[in-house]
Amino acid sequence: MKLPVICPEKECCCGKKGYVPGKGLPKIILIGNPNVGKSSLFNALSGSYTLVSNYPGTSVEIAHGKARIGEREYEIIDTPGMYSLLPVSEEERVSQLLLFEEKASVYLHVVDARNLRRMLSFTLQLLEAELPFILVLNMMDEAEERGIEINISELSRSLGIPVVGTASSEGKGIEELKATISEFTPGNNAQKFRHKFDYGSEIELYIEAVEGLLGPAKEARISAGISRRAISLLMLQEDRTALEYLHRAEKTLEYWDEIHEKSSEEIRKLVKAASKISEVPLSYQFTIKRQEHVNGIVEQVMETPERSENESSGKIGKIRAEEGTGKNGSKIQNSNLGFSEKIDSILIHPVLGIPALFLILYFGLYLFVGVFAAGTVVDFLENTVFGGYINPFVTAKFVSLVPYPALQDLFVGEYGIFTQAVTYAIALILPIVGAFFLVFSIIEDTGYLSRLGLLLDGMFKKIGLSGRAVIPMVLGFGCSTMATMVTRTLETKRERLIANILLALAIPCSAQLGIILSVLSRNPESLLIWTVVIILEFVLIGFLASRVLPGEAPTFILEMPPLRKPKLSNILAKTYSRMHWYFLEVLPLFVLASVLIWIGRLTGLFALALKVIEYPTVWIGLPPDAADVFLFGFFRRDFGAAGLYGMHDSGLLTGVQLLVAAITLTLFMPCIAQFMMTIKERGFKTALAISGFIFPFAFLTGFIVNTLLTSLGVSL
Amino acid sequence: MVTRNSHLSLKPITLCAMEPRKAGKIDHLETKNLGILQKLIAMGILPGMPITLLRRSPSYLFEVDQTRYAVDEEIANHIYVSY
Ligand SMILES: Nc1nc2c(ncn2[C@@H]2O[C@H](COP(=O)(O)OP(=O)(O)O)[C@@H](O)[C@H]2O)c(=O)[nH]1
Ligand SMILES: [Mg+2]
Repeated sequence: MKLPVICPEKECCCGKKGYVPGKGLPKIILIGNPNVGKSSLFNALSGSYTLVSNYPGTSVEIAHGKARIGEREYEIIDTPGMYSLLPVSEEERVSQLLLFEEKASVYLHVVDARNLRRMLSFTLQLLEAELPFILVLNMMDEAEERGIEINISELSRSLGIPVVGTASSEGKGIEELKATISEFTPGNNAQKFRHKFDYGSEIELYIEAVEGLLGPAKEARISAGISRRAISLLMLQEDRTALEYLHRAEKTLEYWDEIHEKSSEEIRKLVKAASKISEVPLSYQFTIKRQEHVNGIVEQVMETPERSENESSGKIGKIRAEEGTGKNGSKIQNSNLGFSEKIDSILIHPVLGIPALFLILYFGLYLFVGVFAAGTVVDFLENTVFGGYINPFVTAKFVSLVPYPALQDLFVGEYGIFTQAVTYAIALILPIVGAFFLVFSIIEDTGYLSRLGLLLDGMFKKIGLSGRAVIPMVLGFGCSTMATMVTRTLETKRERLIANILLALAIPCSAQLGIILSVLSRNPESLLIWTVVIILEFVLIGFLASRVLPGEAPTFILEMPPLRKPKLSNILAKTYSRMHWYFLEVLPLFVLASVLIWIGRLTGLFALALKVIEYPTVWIGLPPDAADVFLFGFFRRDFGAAGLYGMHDSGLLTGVQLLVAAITLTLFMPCIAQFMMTIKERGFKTALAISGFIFPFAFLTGFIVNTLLTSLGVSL
Repeated sequence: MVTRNSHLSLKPITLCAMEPRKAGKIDHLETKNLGILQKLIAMGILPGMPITLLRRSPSYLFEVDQTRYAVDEEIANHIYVSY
């Protein structure tokens, strides 16, 4: 699952479209499972930055960089993780397509040394594909910590390829890897290897038959670097990409004739026939065969302390003894691991995990983002720095230089580009969103997000989401727009839609939250009611959506990386890269909002719209003037919230009215940027439908709360 | 075609029914739902691998070889283990 990454392409070429660093140079392509350290290695080799994250599947995009190794320059390419050559998810397909389309001079298959047993199966597939590659055993430090010993030269011998051990986050083994890359010559090893390993005579017949039909003439068109045997295997497993390639070859081959037509017809028949020879799907059977081979290799080269009882009978007694005392049966080697294990078991405890979550929210979100950044820092920047010095100065200068009131209004008026959009961006958004992203990056780097997914999966299922959705949901408290983009990582269309609706409706972004907190915090009861109403809304709408929307309920499977101490360099780089994205993607839309507001006021459209909005405003018990707040709230929720602040200060709103207005505004669509992102990710119709639901619903909720409070005679 | 640990007389049980913290081995996977099956095998959750259930609430957490996974009950029911 992926978080928004600003691709280094953008960073290093400042928006020059189509420029790729190192284009035309020999290529190095990094492949491997998610979360094994590909991006860390990319950074170590290239010196450029791509997002490193302790959460499986955080990189969504392919990153390009340049590296100088020895005397040569290379283009180096980082890919989103893939578990095998046969993709299961869309992200994996991105990497698979890259392997089909690009030809590198050397590939680096990065694996987690601890998990050699689970990862070598993919290595075998790469051997089958006859790609020229080096096997990189990363995370050697963690393997050592757990007392795992790997005989690297023996592994290299039995696979017939170079193998290097690294700890990329600590820079260990990088020099050796560079040397290996420099000396690398793609040998004929794959050929040798093939004699040692096959899938059994029955199915091999089919594999060879399909391979034969692919024909040497077509080979170049089918793939850049992947062997015909690998293509044949993929076809037999009915892989979409491989079959599409066949289809495409059919379409583009100029000398398309009967012989070719026959052969592709033949291939389809073979695939069908092969699927019948086994009672289980072929992909399952192939994987099991490969794994048997892997197990053989692992027995030879890897020494793991405390193997499970089935494997090493001599240790059974010891394991049993541990079980007897109730001690964790897994491999705890030293006190360091034992400690993180203890913390871990609190974080994911069904009962203790909840207060732990609240503590993290309290310190990270409330105290640091809410009180410190949104309160102290914003106050200082907005009132002292901008309000006291910069804005009066700029306004005076502008007014004296440009004598046209309309333009003055556009740039330095109440909602002007400078006084509103830029001031907001720097004095308000920058500290709040920056603080949020900082906290989020720390949490992400520790591996806590996966734990949160585990903790909340059961509850999320009730609202039609899986534990994976915690990422967009938590991120939504920072920036709804970014979170809407991240809903991409959810597995089904239905889950993406529900997440999108909830983000648009009930999750207030940090900028808005900051202002609402400061408006309501003077009265704790208001704050409490606001919180309860928003949470109820979130649960109710999620629950209804999961009932009403068609499609299957989501399933949940997530790798749980170890808890790690967050690394300062990772955190800073991640925070920076998200801020960078934010300012590039979201800020221009804020300026646009300022311009739209200006046009609206100039042309009188606003006056008209205000008249219309006055009706629901009065309906929910607010003075007609509050319509202003909602109109601006449509452009950006925090504009609206700031308007509330003003009205409250001038004593125009009672406590109840303030609360009702705050609730209604929170439920509004967050901002224009989020709306645009929804269009981009879900399509125009869906975006329109979502907002068509949200606006009336926000007012309805406001109405209900107002009616309840006034009829109960509550005053706040 | 499925590799089973033939020497064991006990019938394989699903991960949901597994006793926490007692090491077992994956016996086979349920093959009815191809999507779930492919997800499991891609992640390296395969017959013959050592498996230990660590907790079943709030979700199922288990360790295969050296890696931990969290899954929901539906997926846990696709994994058959034996001791
Ligand atoms: N202990 C240790 N952690 C590492 C190593 N390499 C990467 N990591 C951490 O593993 C996590 C995943 O790394 P990342 O590069 O994002 O993996 P990717 O998904 O393969 O690109 C991050 O938290 C890294 O800091 C290593 O060699 N040793
Ligand atoms: Mg990565």
